[in-house]
Amino acid sequence: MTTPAYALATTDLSTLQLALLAVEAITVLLGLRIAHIAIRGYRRNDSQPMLYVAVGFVLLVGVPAVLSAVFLLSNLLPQTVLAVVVSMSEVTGMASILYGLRGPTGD
Amino acid sequence: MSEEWPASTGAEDFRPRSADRSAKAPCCDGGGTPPIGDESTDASYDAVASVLADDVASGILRESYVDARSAQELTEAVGVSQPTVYRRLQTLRDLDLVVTATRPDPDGHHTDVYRANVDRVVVDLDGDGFSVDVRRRETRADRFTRIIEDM
Repeated sequence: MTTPAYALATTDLSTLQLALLAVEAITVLLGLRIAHIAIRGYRRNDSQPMLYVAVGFVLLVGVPAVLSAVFLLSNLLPQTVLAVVVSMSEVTGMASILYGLRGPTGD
Repeated sequence: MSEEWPASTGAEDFRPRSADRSAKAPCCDGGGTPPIGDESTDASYDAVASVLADDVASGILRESYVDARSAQELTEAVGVSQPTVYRRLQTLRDLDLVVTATRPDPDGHHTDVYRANVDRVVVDLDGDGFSVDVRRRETRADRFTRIIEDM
């Protein structure tokens, strides 16, 4: 537990993890900012497509981020459940954005 | 698109006190709708100042800045009668201070909604008197909406 090699390994690992976590956090923040702009567009212009785009971005980045945080900070979620729910959320989010992009004629 | 605008009104407490009124008075016979989202109309100082001084008209602008609102919603928000709201909306549309869109409904009953089309009003004073410059800005949210809807 306290051998230098192990300490070095854990330090390296956690630094990399920390960096990845930081990039992940930036991704989530940017995604939620886009969702926020989309919601404003929906409210200002009463544009239904923008609602689907906003919901899509929340499902794509917001929901997975929250679930991952819950997973990391507690042991409430089994990893398989996390993986399945996150994937479903991402698929639904993508589908929502695609649905929002459809034209008025459905093309 | 065409609502039943109340035909030009006799008793009207909201009247700009200037000759400029004639410039926008003849428009209201239900015919043409002003261009939506059109950029530059140089509204006169008197007309714009009257609108901003009017509680109902300025209330409509305030209430419809963030959210597009229907006339019904504006009536409830501002707390006056619906005909009054329609009259102010007509004035605001003539000055291009408000733009309209149609809110689609699943049951096919579409509603007209209104949104403030002004971000800043600059008043200048010089030898010729006051002049006004109405600034309209397409926000990031508007641009995003336009891009998505055009795709």
